[in-house]
Amino acid sequence: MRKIIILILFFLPAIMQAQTESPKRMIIDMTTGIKVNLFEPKFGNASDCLLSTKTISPFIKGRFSYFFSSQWGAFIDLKLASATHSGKDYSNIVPNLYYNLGDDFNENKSTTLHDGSIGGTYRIENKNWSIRTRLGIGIGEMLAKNPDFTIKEKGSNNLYYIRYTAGDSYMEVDELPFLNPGISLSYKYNNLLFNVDIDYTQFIQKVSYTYVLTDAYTQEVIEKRKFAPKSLSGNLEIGLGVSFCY
Amino acid sequence: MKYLLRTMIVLAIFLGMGCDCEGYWDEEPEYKSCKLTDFQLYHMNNEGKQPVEGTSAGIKKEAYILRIDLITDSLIRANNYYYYKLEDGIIKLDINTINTFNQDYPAGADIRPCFTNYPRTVEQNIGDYTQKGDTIDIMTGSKIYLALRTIPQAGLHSFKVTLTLASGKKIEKETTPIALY
Repeated sequence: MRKIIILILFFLPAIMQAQTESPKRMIIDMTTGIKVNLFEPKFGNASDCLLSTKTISPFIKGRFSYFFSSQWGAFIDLKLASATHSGKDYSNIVPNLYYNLGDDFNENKSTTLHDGSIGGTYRIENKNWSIRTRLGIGIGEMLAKNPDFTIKEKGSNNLYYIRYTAGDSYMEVDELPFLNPGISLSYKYNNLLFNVDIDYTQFIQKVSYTYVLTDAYTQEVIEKRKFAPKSLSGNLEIGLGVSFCY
Repeated sequence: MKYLLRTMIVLAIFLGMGCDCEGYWDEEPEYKSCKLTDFQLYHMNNEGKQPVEGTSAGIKKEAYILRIDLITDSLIRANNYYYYKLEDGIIKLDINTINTFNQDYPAGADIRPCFTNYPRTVEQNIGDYTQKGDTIDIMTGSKIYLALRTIPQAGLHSFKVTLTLASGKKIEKETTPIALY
């Protein structure tokens, strides 16, 4: 499914060849819309649960494009997106043999994530319409929870602390590299473009989690291991915007 | 008007810098004095999420907690505004087994090392600091929860608890027998 989206986004302008008229060299895009999280947490996988965010969230972004020729150019893209943690499956993190006596897992905590990318862009336009495709590479933030739990073994006095840390730090966001193909369909009006903007963000690295199990009586570390989610994260962004051409 | 506003902002910043909260946090809390008059012993069953008082049916030996309720001449409640301080603090807490505990601890043996402070906040709990050489005097709670961490042999067990106060006075008490299975 993801490969099909990428192919469609990249080759659509080639299909829709059109006549070009006095193209502008610089374009500044301002776009807002929704981000659809395509990362599906697998039941029972702790890191998936810790990384799961609500499916749809708003975003706003700005992009500056410079065209070296009538068709080819480069762009820089900066984005702010809201993310809210969905912790509904976190009970999977505590095994059935244990009671969860307390945790600091704030399920509905929201934060703003930043990402930036650079890349190449290709455009085709006629008198009233313009299509721009692009392929970028960048660094994006991902919301990660670092919760700790106090768990008690059922039927015994055994008490343990569990701590999960994303990327070996206590930060709630982790920075990961991504690829993002995208397309803008625009209606031209003087020096303005009115756009429908579609972008796909494919993270190319997984968040590494560290799990530490400690005996609550002695503070002795019983188990420490690293693990990662089963699949890479990805987002589909659909937005509306306006562009200024120079 | 513009300069007046600027001057007021600068003054406000300087006044803010002048404030010092250190003294407030360094203040010694106000204690109320009290005396230990007695204590009571309870068998606690910790098989579930929280420890509950054991029944005559017995307690699983891996989930046994001994609760020691300190009784003073003042009513000590949870979340007291004042802390209470024992005039004659507890400097030692001994637990001896009445019956054979297991092959390592025969009848009469000191089994205090087999118990550990339960590391979880339960109602009015207070830690036994005497193991580290400290004195139990500031009554942040009145119930000592000691979790059994060495597994005893199955059978009837009872324990003798001795509290030694700073003045040298000793208070002893025995638990009722409890079946640990």
